[in-house]
Amino acid sequence: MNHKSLKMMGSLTLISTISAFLLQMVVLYTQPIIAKNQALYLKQAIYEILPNTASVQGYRLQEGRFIRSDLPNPSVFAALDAQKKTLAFLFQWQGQGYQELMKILVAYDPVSKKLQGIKVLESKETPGLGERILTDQAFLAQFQGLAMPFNQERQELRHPLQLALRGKPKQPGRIDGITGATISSKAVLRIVNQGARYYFPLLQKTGGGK
Amino acid sequence: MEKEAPSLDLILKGLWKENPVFVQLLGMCPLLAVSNSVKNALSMGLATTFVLVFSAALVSLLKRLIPKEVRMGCYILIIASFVTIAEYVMQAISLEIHRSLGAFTSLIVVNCIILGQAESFSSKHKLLPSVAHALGRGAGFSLAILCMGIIREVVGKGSFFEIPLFGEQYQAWTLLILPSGGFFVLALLLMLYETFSKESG
Repeated sequence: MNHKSLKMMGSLTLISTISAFLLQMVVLYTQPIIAKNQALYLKQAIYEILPNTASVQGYRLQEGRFIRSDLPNPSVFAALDAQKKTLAFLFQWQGQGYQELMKILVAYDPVSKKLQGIKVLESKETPGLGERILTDQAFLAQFQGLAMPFNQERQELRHPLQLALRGKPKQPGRIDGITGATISSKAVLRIVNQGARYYFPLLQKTGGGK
Repeated sequence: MEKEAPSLDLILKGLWKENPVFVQLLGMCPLLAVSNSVKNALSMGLATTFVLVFSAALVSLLKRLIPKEVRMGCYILIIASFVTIAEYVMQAISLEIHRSLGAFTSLIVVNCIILGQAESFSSKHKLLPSVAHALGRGAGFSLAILCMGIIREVVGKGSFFEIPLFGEQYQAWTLLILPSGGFFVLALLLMLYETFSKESG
């Protein structure tokens, strides 16, 4: 090995070491703040869907049912009111939006078998068009109190969410989409359906067990 | 005084006379992609300036230790480190901004303004002029992206920094916040820049 390649390796190693040192310092300092921000963001979203929430309890999946857990990053949250009564369970599900992945927080009450609301946590829909799934109150309000029963025998949603057809009487599970945001509206329904198929049977076991 | 004059001149040069966007047409990717709101534009401008200044300082300090054959690798390594730092800091300041910039924070690595700065200036100059030059170019880029952001948000959404400016009746010109609108606004700004710099020159 000659002198030149030694020098090349030496300089790259030196720079990598400096980089690694700088990055380590920054990560050490910012990691706890980022984790706190993320937890705060999720909690704010929960309060937005269920304004009567007084506290939030994390749940973790164990042997096919959810048990209370105070560890960080639980898989499901329960929103409790001031009397410690469970208002709804909240879970997150991710799926394909118009161009990029979309992540939705869904609130569901397994006792009344009704959705309590949804909030899109992460999305990159077209500004001004598909983006309206984040802000269109008429669209979002339809998810509040929408009956969404799960058929335990057939392991399928009784009325999977679908866009309502124009000029037809409204049937269960039908949602009016947003004009100019049809693909994004459909994506929201699809993601909520997928999440519901996974979480509803588990949550009904958990909610009914008490 | 004699020493400081060239530094100030370097900063002003990058801001206007040799503006990396308006004159050299560099850094087009973030300029067009994340200038759809004032907030995004400002965060991208600041993040790019941060990476530009710190990478220029480090490249200038290490220039004697970097062999010519691997200089690109070294520059990219240095730039990528500062981009990652900027990404972590941004997440710590506001998750919302980090979310709305999306992949474009990481893509600062491939911004030609930064690599150009390292290759053509910082690797040949001392620390102070390097930092001044980088600061000027960062300010120039920020100025350009901020102009785009202001025009696009005010006209395309009817708001400034998410504060609604006009009444309910305002019909927002949505086209401007869509990707194609970026090209129209850029063309308009380039035209204005040409006109102004011809008149003053």
